[in-house]
Amino acid sequence: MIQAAEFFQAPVVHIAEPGGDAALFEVELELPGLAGRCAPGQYFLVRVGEGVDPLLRRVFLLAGASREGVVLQHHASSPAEAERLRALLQSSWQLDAFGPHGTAFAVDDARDALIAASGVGVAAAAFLATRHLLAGRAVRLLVPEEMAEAAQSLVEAVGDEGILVAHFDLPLEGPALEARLAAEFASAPGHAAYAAGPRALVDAFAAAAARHDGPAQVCLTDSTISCGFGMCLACVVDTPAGRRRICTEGLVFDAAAFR
Amino acid sequence: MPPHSVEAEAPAVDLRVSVGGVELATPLILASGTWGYGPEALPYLDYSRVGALSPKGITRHPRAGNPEPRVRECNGGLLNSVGLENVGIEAFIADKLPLIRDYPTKRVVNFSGSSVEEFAEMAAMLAVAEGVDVLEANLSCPNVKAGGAAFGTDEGLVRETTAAVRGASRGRPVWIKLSPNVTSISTMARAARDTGADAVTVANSFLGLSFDTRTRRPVFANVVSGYSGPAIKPMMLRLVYEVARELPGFPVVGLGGVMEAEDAVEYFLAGACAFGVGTAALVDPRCAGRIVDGLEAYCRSQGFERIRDLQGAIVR
Repeated sequence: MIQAAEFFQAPVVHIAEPGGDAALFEVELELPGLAGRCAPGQYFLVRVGEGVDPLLRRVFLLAGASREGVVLQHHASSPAEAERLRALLQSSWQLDAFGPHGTAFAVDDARDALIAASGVGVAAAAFLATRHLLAGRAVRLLVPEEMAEAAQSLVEAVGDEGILVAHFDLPLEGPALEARLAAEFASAPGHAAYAAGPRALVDAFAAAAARHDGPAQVCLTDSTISCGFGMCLACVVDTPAGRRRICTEGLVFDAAAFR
Repeated sequence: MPPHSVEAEAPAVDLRVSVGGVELATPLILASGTWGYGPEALPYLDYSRVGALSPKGITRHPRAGNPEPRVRECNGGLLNSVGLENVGIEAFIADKLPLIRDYPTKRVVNFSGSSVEEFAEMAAMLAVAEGVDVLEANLSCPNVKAGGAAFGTDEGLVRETTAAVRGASRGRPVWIKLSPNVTSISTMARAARDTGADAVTVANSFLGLSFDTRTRRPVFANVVSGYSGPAIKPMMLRLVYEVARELPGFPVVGLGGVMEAEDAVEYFLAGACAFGVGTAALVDPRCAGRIVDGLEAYCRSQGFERIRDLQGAIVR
């Protein structure tokens, strides 16, 4: 039985803005004892500020979990939103966090990994890469150039654990993205394949994974989430395989659902 | 004789209210649409502190609802375009209602028809279903037979629909959930009262609209959406006040923007006898307990032994 998500008043250990993307925020929260319940692809809903503006909690994707706490990342929807969140986060010494929510990547760390990530999906990629590297497996990481600085800190953080090859030239969308991913799949037979990012990346990755002979999963990171546990019926994603409830059936799906 | 207590125990506040033929243990109603069918909220709620649960609104047939996106935060409130996604009345009665039948609260079943006849048919089905305490007809839905105008925006249709539901209800309490998108809410409330409603819920969400300025497209596929949350509370309070003033003694359930106990107090002062909580559930599903506790504390601090005495207790 899945344990219901819980509410935590979590002390803030640090708040950072990983370089290169002014809308990306990283927070480390003191949440001891939670690591066993947290996995790559899951998220917390965090209340930023105490009033009614912003009203809804924000989706913070898990970037890591340890005995002491969790590291989360959030990508603001606009520069104005980023400005507002920055001010609120910088004045917070603790945050109201609700989670963990959602499905997690089924980490197949008996295989080497191919990971494509964009936007806040880099957070899930970091978590995934760590799992594979700690199991002694190689990781090939693909990230767009605009995320290079943010991803570089990830490489530095986990690079000592094993073989991590990172490429910071993944096209953002369109035929170039599809062609690049197809080529990557061709050179990574049998790899456990993962993608985390916005819909354009997920669709292209799912299409490219059609002939892949290993597992392929995607994490859709750019959806609005309201309650987080399927109560309000507001958060759906339309896929070629039908309508899915993004908050509880996702954020992680088998890539086949998107082709 | 027990020893004299230095600190007197705080007097209990009687939180019970009577709303249109139903006794509620507390005045808080989990408003239809945001609390699922009921079991979803169980980890975060003590249902004995909830006056009534209004599960997800149902229609005659299952509805898949609208495509994504379905929600957008907007100026202290929330725009939604869920599109009445629900399992349909038959699956609701067979599969959902049994799950909440034994909860220590009342069940206000919210339903929408596409015609007056369908409203009556659904009322008849609910009237014989075990566990339905109140039939709440949602008059904000479009009348398909009459070109799509909302039932609740036409006084004649309010009368016709209320009478049809009343006639099929087998004596079960009937509440009418009104649309706020009207010129005179008291006219609609009077029409409901005069044709058999036991109470009115004031009101459903306001109509709203939002554009994506990058694409210059409406945010929602349905273009128009429902606006709820703290931003609409002052407007809803005005509507509740108008109905309570025009129809003294007729029960009004206030709904719109209740996030904390103080918001609920305002609804009582405006003349409501109970209140709904909707959008707040999306921020914190534990809010129901906090609001009821806060109401109790407020009454104690203000010297009200019974919450119902707060209704309309405006000091001028």
